[in-house]
Amino acid sequence: MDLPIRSELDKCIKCGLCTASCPVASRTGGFAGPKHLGPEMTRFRLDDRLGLEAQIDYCCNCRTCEQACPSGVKISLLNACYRHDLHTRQGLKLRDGILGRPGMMARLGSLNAGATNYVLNNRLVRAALDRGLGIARERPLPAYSRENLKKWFQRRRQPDSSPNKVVYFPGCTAEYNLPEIGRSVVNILERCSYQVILPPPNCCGLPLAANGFLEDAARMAGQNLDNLLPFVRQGYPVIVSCPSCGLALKSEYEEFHNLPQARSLAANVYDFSEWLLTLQQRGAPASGFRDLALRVAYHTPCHLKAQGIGQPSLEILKKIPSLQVIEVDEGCCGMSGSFGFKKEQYRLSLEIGARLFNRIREIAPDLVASDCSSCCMQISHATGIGAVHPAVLIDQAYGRVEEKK
Amino acid sequence: MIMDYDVIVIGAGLSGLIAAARASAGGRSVLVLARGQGVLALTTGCIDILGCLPGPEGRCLTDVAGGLQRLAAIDPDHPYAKIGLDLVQESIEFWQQVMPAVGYPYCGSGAVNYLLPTALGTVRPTALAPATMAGGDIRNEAGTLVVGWLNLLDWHPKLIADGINDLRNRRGLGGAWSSVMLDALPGAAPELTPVMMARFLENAQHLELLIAGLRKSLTPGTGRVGLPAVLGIDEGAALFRQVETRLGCPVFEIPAGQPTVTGLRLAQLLIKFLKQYGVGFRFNVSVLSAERRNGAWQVMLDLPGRAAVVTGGALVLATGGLIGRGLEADRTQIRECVAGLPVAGRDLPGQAREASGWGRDPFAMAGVVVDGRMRPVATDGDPEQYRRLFVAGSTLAGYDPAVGKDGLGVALATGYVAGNAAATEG
Repeated sequence: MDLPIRSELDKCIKCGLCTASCPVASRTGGFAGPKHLGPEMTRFRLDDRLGLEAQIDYCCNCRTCEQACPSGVKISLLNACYRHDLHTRQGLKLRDGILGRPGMMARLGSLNAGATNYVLNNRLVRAALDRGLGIARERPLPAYSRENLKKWFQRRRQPDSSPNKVVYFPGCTAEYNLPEIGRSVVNILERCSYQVILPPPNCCGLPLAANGFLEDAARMAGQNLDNLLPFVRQGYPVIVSCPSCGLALKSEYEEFHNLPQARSLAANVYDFSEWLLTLQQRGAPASGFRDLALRVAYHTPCHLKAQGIGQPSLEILKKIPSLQVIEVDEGCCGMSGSFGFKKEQYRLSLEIGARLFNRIREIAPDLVASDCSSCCMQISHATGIGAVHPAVLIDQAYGRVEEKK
Repeated sequence: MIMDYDVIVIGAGLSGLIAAARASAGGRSVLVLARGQGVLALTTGCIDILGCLPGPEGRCLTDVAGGLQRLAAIDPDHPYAKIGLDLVQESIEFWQQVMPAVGYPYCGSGAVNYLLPTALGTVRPTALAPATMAGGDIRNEAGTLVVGWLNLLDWHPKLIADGINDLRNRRGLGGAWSSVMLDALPGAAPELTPVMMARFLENAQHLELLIAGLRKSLTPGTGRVGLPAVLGIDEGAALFRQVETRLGCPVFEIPAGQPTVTGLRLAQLLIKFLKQYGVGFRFNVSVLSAERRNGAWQVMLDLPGRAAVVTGGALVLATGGLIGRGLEADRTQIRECVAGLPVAGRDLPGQAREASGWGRDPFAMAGVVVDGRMRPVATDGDPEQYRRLFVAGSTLAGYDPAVGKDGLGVALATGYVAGNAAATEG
């Protein structure tokens, strides 16, 4: 065993706060929780007599346990290594390989988005995916957009060059599924007098790591370092709008993959709202918000919490006149990226978020806002209420009307 | 200079949360920084103000008000003596105002102790008890039934009943304690920690099963029922009320296992309440250092990926002691980790180990020395460097909660005074 992992084990004082905070263990007795599967099982992994091995798939990599831990144990890291070892021994699942590669799937699916969406909505196809692959048929699949972010970015009239430049890493969702998020982010950054640079579309690699494909994830991370570091060296910050991409770039590249130079990238990565709030605090165009007469419930994604940056988008939304924002402080939504797509976890994923959904139904907002599109998907699916990225609302408050196609 | 917050509190244990509550009630913008989610959930949530006097007078106290008077006279270095007893009383009143609004009410005036049963069949003297626990005082002479379930780990009703009966006999108290061990709850895991059982019971159908099982075990002699503290987490005392009403018999909880359900409720509900009232929280943040510059406190944070700075007008250090790691010891010295404050007992690790007076542990007694407003007493250098810095909770020197049974009481009182000072002092 590597020494850094060993020292993680010794930090754990067995207080159990991580398991008490775990959204999955709180809703199923089938999962002994992060303490058992992480620091404890790692000690016993060479000789699993307790039958805990298979439970590792319950860990949804939400990182709530790491935030609860008073001793700073990297429980997710232990679990990721363990899942990787186990799955390498037992053979990796095709389904998990597909869910771990949203970018590759999106590039294929976007070749003819209309046809892909049609096929993926077909009941027979869903039944086949359910039986054959283990992707829950009840779970709506995210649709692919006819025009991805890169195409839009290249098509439109380019704004004037500015000495202030930022790199925007949209991740797979804002690139292929919901490019309106990406368009809003670009618009807002340009409104703040930045020239936006889009690197070649690429997945951050977090879904691969979460599904046990650590080597593939490390390769992806290496590509992104190659793509992004030249900009970082010129002093340009890297903006992400997806909290999971943010977490991958800020911490996983170093913690999970131990890549040289990961730290110099991490130090220059900002969540979109984190960046905008800093600009506003420095006096950049915080004003200029128009009225937005909406009642919005805000949900903080786990991977945003894990970044330790507070709730910057909530703070910005609160500044929009006529916008009534209510924070829904009910923990994890249960989706956790690919976790909620899996046939065996689908029901559980909805149970984990039940309190959150009930609270949202009580509030009965016009819209839910959350930085994570996986949370948005889950919340809309469970409550029937629309859910959007805060950037879309902020963009509207800045007065932009979505262009007609 | 533009400041991010009026007051920055480091630490989300009880002293930090109370300091934040007090400063926020004083109209200040407040940010709480915490490494984990705070270790309040590892306590029972009982506010022990004073359970025992130090030294030869030491024995289990019931008269807290009298005990505090005596303590202030014999131990002027104790944090209570420094604050003054009026402010200790004020902090208790603040607590009793806040907790009903939090949705987790407490019983007790603070002047006398309850004598509550523990999971080991011993007695805990405590002044302020969660409403779900306060009914368990061993001096109540009702016939008491302690209930357990076979699948609940580390919970032994007979051990509790035997222990309390022994104490009752020695004190000549009436009302026997008995115990019953019920079969595993159907549908639950074969082994449950208290937290798992609490989650299980948050499901209404599961709670019905529990109530049905309890009904069957009641006998005509049962005057009250003692349960492990497993009646839900997120809903505060709501499930407790439901069980008591449906059973038609007084019920009380006894904290069981770690982390305790009663401590988790307190931590979660108090944090949620403070958030609703506008207190900012950042979890998963390590503080590297804090320095006073250009009339403000600059707190350097270690975030995933990079360091960042937040600025505040005043700073409350509620970072914990050697266990909470607000203080760190190596082989020669104890250091205060955030602001590098002077530590009384600094050189203890390099010295031969001797018990300090009155059986108190010298390492527990070590910490930062403050004045009556929780300001560090500067032993060297420029006093200006600690301006508008206040210290609360177990970072402080001068008390050993294992002996005085005054841990959360000192956290409450010093957190209150520090928050008050941070909100008001220029």
